[in-house]
Amino acid sequence: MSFGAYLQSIGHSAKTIVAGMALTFRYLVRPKEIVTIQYGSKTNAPKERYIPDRHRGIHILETEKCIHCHICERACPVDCIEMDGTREAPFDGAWKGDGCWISSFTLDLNKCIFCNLCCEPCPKECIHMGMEFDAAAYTRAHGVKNLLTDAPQSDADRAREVEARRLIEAAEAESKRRKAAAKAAAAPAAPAAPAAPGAAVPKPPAPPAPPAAPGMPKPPGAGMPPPPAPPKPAAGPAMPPPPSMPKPPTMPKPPSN
Amino acid sequence: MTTPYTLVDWVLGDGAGWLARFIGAILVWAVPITGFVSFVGLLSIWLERKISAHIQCRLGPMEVGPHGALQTVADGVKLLAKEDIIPADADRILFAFAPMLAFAGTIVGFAVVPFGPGLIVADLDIGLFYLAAVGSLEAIGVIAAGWASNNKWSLFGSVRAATQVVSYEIPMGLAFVTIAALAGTLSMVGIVEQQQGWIANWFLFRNPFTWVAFIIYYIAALAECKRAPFDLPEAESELVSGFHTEYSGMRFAIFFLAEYAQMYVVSAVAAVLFLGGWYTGIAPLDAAIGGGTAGMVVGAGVIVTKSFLLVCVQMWLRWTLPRIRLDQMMYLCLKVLMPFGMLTLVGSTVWEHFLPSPAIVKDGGGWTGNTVMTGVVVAAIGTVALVAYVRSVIRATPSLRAASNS
Repeated sequence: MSFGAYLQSIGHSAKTIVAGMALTFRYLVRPKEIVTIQYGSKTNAPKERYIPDRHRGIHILETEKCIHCHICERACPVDCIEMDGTREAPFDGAWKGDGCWISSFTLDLNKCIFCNLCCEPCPKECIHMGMEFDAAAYTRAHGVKNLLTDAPQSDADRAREVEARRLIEAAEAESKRRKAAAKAAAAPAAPAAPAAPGAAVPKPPAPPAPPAAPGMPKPPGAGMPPPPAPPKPAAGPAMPPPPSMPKPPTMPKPPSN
Repeated sequence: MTTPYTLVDWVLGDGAGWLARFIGAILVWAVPITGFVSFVGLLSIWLERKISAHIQCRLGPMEVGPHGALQTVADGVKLLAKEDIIPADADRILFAFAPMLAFAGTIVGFAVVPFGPGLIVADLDIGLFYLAAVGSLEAIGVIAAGWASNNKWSLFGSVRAATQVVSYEIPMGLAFVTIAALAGTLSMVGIVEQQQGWIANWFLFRNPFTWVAFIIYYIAALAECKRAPFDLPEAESELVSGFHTEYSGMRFAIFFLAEYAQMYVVSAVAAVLFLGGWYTGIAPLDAAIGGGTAGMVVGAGVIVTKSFLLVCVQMWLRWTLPRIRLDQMMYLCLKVLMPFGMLTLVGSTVWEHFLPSPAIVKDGGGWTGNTVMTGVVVAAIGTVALVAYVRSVIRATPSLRAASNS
């Protein structure tokens, strides 16, 4: 190596070191972005930034599109979806679906295998796999998610479901009775409007149903680990709409994705 | 050179006997310095993690304490509680002894590092020589650790450490001699007192060659500390973690602490030799502060600040430069630093012969022809560096490049 090349190599080293240090100093005082995501309560980044689009997270339900067809429930290989509602007539505290009234739609995350088999057959494409992945809970009961409220199913939810079951049965019986009457009446004459939908929720005196509804054909919380907390709904015959409803039943959910 | 005023005298009075002075020195010096070393370790480990994180667009420790300030304390507690593992085929005695040797080799350096005017354990007449002598003691601990571990990675690491530390003693010594020739003394306090007054009296600005000496010293000090880009003895990517591969728990923590303590020692020595020690570089300010307790406190603050800034530069370098190869390391030492070190020594003495500095300028009148010449040379080098930097920025920025091309 000639002496000139020797000096040149030293100069080159010094130059590159200075250039590199200038670069790192610029990053030190003014970083372009902070890539650290502080996991937990201090999460400082939206999930879209670090969760891929097709991630199978906790489900999201677009309630207003649901037709209460039970197809997802039947498709589920581990039976973790349970729902209750009616297509016959509205009732107090119902969540409005597409031509149906839903009282409960729960997903047991203790069982769910995130297989996506519930989303595929859905005729209205209203149930989706979401971005949320944090399914940790302190008890098994908290592992059950209420897809209507996007929150863990609470005791109040369970009590409401039991009460809703009673209301549904009453509403269905009332609707059936009216239909039969209308059919009988309409045999000669013009068809009377069957079962005024939506308006003026019929509050039947509820003669047919037993007050405590012990022998429900399909109790909403039957398969869940803790039995639905000995419900006290028998107290009032016509329970007013639950006061602690997290959001109005007919409010449309933000469309997922 | 006798010490007129040290902390032990200040505490005990001048008439104390040798035994009282001995016990006093332990209480006044050994205990606080151990505490200071621990504090320096905790602070600089946290600082290093933060600096590295920010350079890499990360946040670093954020959970323990505000901005993770207590993370190192938590780590220390964890290390204390960990199991003390000694490999089955290790040399047990040497294995246990090596970290102590490394740590002691580092901490004896603090004996001649001043923390402020009068705040020095022992102002030896041969302070600089002592420092050069004990500077490589740590390497013995490292070699012992590598040998005792009975692990080939550890042994490779310690062999590399031996090569490196012994080689870089020489350029470091040449930088020491350059300053000793200027100062006319090897005493650390004496060297600092030569730099009293305006900033121009700092040895860094005494003549252009001392700049080179400073750079040579700093590079050699990096190698002595085994810091990147000279971290060959550790070399995570090649040797797992080199000489302390087999160490865990508190023994590992002691090695770690020794590394950070040595970073502080070499930086403090750089501050003493080149950056005016405990003087602020503003003559009227120093005069206003005066001596006594106020001078001690302010001086301690000044020198510790300077040292910590240099420690930060070490960290900045570490997170910028990649590790160099063993042959490159030897090339740098033998073919670059040593010739330049000798050139510096000769050049500096010749410069002083023809343009002698005033001996000690206490009233701040240090603006002599020598200073002017130094300023001219430094300004010329600085201008060249600035032009080179601006050109590199223009080349790196597309919009500016387009503007300059058209």
